[in-house]
Amino acid sequence: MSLFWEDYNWDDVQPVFEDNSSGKLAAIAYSDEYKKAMGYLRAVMGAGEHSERALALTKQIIADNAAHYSVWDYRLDIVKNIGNDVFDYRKVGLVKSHAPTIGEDGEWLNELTLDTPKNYQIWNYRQHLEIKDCPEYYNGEVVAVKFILEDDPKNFHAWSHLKWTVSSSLKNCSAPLLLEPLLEYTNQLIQEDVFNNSAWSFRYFLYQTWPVLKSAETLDKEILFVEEKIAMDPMNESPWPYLKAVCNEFSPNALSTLRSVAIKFPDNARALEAVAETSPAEEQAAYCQKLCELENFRANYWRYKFKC
Amino acid sequence: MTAHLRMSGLYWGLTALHMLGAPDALDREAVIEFVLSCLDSNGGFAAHPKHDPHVLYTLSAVQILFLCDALDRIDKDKTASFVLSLRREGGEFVGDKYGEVDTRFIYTAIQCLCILGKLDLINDTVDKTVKFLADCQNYDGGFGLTPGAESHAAQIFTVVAPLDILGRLDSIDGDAASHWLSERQLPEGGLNGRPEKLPDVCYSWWVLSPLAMLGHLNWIDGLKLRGFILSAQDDETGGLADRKGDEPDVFHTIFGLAGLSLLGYENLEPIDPTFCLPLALTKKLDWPGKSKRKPFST
Repeated sequence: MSLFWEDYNWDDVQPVFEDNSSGKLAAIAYSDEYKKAMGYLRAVMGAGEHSERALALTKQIIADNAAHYSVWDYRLDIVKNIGNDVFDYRKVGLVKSHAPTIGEDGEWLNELTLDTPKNYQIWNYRQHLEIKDCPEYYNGEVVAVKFILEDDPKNFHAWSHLKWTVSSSLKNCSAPLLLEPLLEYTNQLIQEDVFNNSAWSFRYFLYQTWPVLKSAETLDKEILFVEEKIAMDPMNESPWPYLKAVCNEFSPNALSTLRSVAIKFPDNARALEAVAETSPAEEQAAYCQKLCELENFRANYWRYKFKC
Repeated sequence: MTAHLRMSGLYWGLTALHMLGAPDALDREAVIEFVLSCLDSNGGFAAHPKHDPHVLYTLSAVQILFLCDALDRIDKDKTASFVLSLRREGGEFVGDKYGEVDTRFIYTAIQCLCILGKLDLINDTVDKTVKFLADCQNYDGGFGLTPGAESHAAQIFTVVAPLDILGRLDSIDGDAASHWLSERQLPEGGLNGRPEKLPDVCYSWWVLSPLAMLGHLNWIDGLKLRGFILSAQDDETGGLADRKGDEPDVFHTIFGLAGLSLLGYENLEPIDPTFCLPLALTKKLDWPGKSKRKPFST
């Protein structure tokens, strides 16, 4: 089923066109093709029609304007009603599943996600296709996200969707996603680009979800991992708050653990700030002075923080 | 294909004109007529006539009518009840009937109810709303779209502004958020939205406005930022782009101007950091956090 919308018979439909005459304050120049498709969309949407031809039509509108939120809502309505009759539901996501679910054109959806990864609607739509207690759905979403991140490793929507997928699988699936492969994925991304803040943020999310750092041995390994990454560029903004959070959350001696790493990177504002934070109050003024010299445009912040 | 944000475009343009001291540059009656033509029978507004109503455009419509002193042209109770229909049990808001929950919609709904004078309608869930917003604060001090989502400057605005309206800024670590925001300034002066991203003029607003609400506008170097914003102005059309040399548009123009206004430059009319509306007009409004406001100026 991959017919173009105009390949269907529309003789029984009276398209509804907008009065977009010139001289209006917000008149818009649309292509004739888009106007025509919109005319038919208004008609079938108004009539609440759930049909194959309406599905094909929504594809056209989405191709022209993926941010048109009403058309996504309409497509979801149709898919929930007749999706299983039209599409092989096992193709939702990138994997096959055998759980009863909502039929959608998975290949089309994945291609569109790749083409317009910054569109809010598309990710929300994918979440509405959730198949509870179906491991393949969640694995499929992880695969889809990895495809997007291959092109754009900091895509905010894809990362948010990945977090949603992890949380939902833990909540709704008896065979949820596992920590190890996800952690390994962040190893890989941080290895490729140590400045990838999204990957750092996701790694922290994983440790909040699976509190394995409560084990002293795992914690030591993690601190070492961060230290190695800081050494690659001590001015990198991402690992420092990560390190502080890991220490605060999981280390029984948070301040001394943080300090033990920070003192290894002298003459650097981020490390110096951490050293200052873990020093007695009477020593902080001297550090503050040094920080103001290193990063003068943030002097107001340093003075506020260290009360000097 | 810009119909889906036409209403917001009009709000951005009109607010920019207010800052430039030309509030009457657009035909007031034509503006009001366009807004009313997007009103749905359920009290919500769409981006364009015959589109579905959405909370984002409902806020833009209400802001425009407020700017035009024409809120008496709509049934405020009905519009407020549309906004309320998007509330979930946990005090969060969605954007439309299938929509996702995130901080953008909480901000939009709360500002909308505030301008309509109907904030008391959410009294029963306000504590839950505040908790949801506070739960979006991350280990680095910033906020994401939902709890656990990566910190992003625009999302800090959408958390701090509703908390400021509700008078509940004390429920978050404002100093940690401000520190993360101050780190958005790059040595050349511009602000980015996340670590290691390029600077963009629109972040002049998303970063500065929460800093203003939290009382730490002076944690960034205003003069350096001013230089960055002005370098993005197009010589021919006068509009602002995301950065020097790119095409200008109304989105970057309003938020670049709003940043300059907050910093007190170029003799612009002062802008309200919480509402992104002229301060002279928001003075007329009343809201729980009004008496707790910190001084904005640098």
